[in-house]
Amino acid sequence: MAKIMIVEDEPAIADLLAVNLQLVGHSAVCCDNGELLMEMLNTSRPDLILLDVMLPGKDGFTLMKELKPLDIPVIFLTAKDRMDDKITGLKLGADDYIVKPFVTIEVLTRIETVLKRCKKSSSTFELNNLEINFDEHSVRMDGIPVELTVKEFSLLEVLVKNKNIALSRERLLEMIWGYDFPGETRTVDVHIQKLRKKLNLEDNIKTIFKVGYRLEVKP
Amino acid sequence: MKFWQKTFISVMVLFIIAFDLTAWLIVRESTKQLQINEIQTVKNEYYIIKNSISERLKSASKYYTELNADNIAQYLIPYAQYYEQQGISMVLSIDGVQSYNNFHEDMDLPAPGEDIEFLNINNNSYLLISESMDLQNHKIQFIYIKDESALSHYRHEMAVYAIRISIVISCVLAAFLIFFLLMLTRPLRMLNKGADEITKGRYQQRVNIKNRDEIGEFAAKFNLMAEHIEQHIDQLTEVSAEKQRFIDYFSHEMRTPVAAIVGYAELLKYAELDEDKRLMALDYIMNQGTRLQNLSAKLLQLSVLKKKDYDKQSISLNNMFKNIEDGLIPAYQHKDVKFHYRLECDLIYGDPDLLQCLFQNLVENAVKACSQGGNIMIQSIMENSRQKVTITDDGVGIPADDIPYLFEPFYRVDKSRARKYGGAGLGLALCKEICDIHQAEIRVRSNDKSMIWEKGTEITIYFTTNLQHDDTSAILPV
Repeated sequence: MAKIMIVEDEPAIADLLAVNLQLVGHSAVCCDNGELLMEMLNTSRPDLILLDVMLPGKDGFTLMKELKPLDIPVIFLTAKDRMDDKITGLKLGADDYIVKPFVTIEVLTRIETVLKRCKKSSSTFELNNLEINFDEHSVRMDGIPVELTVKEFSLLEVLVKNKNIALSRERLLEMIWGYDFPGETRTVDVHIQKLRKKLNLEDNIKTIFKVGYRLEVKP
Repeated sequence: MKFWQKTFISVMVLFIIAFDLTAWLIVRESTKQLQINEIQTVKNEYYIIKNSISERLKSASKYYTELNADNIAQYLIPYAQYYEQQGISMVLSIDGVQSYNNFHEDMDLPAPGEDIEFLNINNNSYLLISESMDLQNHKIQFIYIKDESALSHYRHEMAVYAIRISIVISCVLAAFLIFFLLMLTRPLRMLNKGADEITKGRYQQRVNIKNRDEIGEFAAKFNLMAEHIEQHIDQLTEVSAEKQRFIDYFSHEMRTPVAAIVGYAELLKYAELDEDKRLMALDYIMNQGTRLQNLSAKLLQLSVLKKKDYDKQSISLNNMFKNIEDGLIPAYQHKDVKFHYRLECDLIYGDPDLLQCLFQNLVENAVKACSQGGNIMIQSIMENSRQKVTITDDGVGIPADDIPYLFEPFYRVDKSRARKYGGAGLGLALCKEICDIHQAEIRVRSNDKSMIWEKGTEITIYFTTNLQHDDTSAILPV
């Protein structure tokens, strides 16, 4: 969906992020220092940059000053979690600031939020014979609109935006029904069933034993 | 109230009191002197007149049968009229009967007395002398009254003058005093301002006061104090910055591997991965786990180091370095690194484990720094009765900017803490600790023309503890 540049000198972290991004449908490009980044930006511009603060040569904060005029959304990714650093980062114009260690889902969600804010998020998605429009909150099967409740659509959206990554029932409950919801995770199961039925997604929405549900889409 | 104001007011008040008191005393004394003179003059006059009249009356009594109030008056009148202009009045009475009186006030005339008296009638003062003379069995009383308003007038005039003078002089004094006091207290104001600046954090502020009096002394001490404060604050700032650096790097070193491990574990759980990616994830988990393990082991060593009981002995450097070299064969073999030795002083005195750790770290660093076909020279010689052990390589070297921070925990020349040359940056911190424990000094030089191969890095340790002896040292072929 989006082209994301990962600027991180720790290969372990860089690879981790790249794999996750690819799973959910973004394309990822990596580089491990500031100079290389600026060079690469000359040839092609990503939709978002994940920027580590502690880099060899110029550090992330210094680079941010050069990136600001380019108007590409930037999310800082770093082990430095002091309030001063967070404030510095955000003041320099970053769109968000994530501290290591991070929860993968959180990173993906924040990336999605920033992309939406900068209107770089795609508003439609196609799967099998389905056409999903996130702006309109509509789904069409072979061109014919399908009726979905608000919660069913939200569930579908979350599954799509995090495709190929399993989401636990608790997490789905949290993300869609909110923290205060008094009900149980059975609600999630019921809604999943409905989605499968209504949209013919029995083969795509997989139940992962002891983990959760996953929408599987070939990347 | 300000000091100069307090001083000013005190001096002015004191001055005015002193001056006016003095003036008053002087005026009073001079009036008194004048009075005494006046009394003397009046007395003299009185007696002259009295004697004169007495004589006249005596000779007059030959012609008259009886002296009475009527016929004696004429003898006084010339005098009375003459002296009237001078404010002097006279009264003559015979046997209690008034013969002549030119005193303009109404009063009961006093009986003859010995002394001169003061009279005060209607706010005018007079001097009065009253005496009698015996003549023909008559008692003739002669009273002399002098108007002394001149005297009190004098007194009044002097007082007014004194007040005027006092005012003028006070004003002049006030002006000078203010100027003078402000000048004297100027250094104090400068000190005040200096102290203000320092309170605001400008510790380099000093006070420019050149005079040698008590305030000058204080100013000098003030400057000295400020100097010490500035130095101390600089030290504290540096220490604080160092601590913060440690924390930053420590947290980075911890968090990065943990983030990787957690991240890949999550990936394995939630995603469907092909075999390649699965193995990659598992490899990373293992590597990063090992990395954490090494890190915590080194940190533990660092902290425990201070509390250990040291077991000092004589150790052969030859043997130790041979062991180290052998242990590193896998690391340097493929780079074809050559070791050179010049161990004039074979024995060293210290804790074997610690020294092993120390030299191991240093030689490892040298090996890592070397490129293909690199050289490492290890020397141990006596210099100025200190034992000097040097490890030199002709490898990649260290930038001059980094050298001051080299021994700080986690400090790495490559600031991204990337794993290219391996390690978390704790090796040298450990080495420094070990040197401190042995009271040895460790120094670094890099890319210096006076070094053996001119490029690379040279680490020198000066041992000062219980030195060994002269003796037999193994000199190995280079």
